[in-house]
Amino acid sequence: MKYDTDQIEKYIAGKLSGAEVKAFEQRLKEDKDFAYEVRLHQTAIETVQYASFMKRVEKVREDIAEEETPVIPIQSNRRKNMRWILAIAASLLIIPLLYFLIIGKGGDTNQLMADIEKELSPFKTTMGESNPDETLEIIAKKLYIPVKPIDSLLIAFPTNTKPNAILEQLAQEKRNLDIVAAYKQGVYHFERKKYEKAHYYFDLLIANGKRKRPEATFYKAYSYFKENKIEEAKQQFQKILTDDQATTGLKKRVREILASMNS
Amino acid sequence: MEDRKIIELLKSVHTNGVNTAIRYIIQQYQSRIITKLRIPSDVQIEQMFGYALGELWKKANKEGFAGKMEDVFIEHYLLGVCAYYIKFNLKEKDYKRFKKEISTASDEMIKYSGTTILSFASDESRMQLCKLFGKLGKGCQELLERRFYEGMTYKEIVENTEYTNEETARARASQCLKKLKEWIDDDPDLGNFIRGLLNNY
Repeated sequence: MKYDTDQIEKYIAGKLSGAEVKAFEQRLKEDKDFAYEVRLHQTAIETVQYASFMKRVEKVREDIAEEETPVIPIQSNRRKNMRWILAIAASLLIIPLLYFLIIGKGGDTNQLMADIEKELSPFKTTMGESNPDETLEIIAKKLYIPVKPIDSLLIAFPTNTKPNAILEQLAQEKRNLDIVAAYKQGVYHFERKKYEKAHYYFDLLIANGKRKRPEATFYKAYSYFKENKIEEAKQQFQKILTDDQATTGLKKRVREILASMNS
Repeated sequence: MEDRKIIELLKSVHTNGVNTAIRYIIQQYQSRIITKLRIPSDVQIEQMFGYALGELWKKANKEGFAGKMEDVFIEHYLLGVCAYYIKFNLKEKDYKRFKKEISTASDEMIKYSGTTILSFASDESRMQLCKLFGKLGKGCQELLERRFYEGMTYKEIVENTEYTNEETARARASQCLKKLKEWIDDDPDLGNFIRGLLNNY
């Protein structure tokens, strides 16, 4: 049966007069087919609205993610990226090597570490140039958005929770630790000299042992160094040398750092 | 940004305004709400928050929600909708478990949700409806968006698009909507969903 869709639309939009609404609703009660048609029409209109709005939400999410995407993408094309990192690392090795050859003594330990840190940081652009007017809280919130939803769950745990307890909890809930998120969180706090908080995430990655373990260990070592805890820093650097996930390039550079620290 | 300002932007007819509001709400509230609700593992957070945003948008446009509604601010409203979403999408047993775990989402919050027909649809149904909308041609999608999402009159549509007169635009919109309705009607699950709604009359 054909129905007056204009009238249906007016009813849905609340544009019928009192008497018209009364008559319309009476018909809804009496005529099931008409009632079905009205609900169908309403569902179609709401679908248009919902889908259109969701398109915008999706677009905004994409924009946010794009802004926050690190210069060196971590999740996608990992192997390809690692090759690039290795290539950069290898080429950078020449500089300290020349320095060793020409000057004949250990290089600047801090500089060596800062060079590696620059390459490992996932926040080369946006986070590196954070706006001083932004509060820590706002920056932190931005950080949670572009990554997968599960990332945000990390913040649900109190910061004194042991890494193994978190991993156990995630395992119980049949979830994997979001390594990229945990790494970002760690580096984020490291860059703001919140070393205790940074260690919370690095320990989580080290205990998880799947990916980013050498990088997390490096950051942990570097933060000990910055706090002048030289022995603890050395212990962490030693761990990188025996870590089967660490690249040869990183191990070589860590050896240089250790040599420099011992000289 | 004040709640009132966010709502103004959300109601704005300009895409930039709406996008600014969406961005602000995501950045300001998403992680906060996730922290407050211990979300069960089978709930897709972005989907849930997207739904909550949609409800807020509807509320803002339909009921003149001016940033404060029955002493409830945006954050509480979103919390309520998310809690409702979780309740609706979980089996009863799982919901009891969830409810036991959460500290802030209470029945108080849940009552602030559900303003549209699609509030009563499952996630799968909503996704299926979006898919059907996506099946319409680009021209149809744009026309329906202008008419029903942006709320343009046919006169405004003619002024802003290639349609030469109101009657053509009206007839085309009617055709497009009819096609969408047919697809919804042909889908057994969606048909059942609509029949289920008839009890509300």
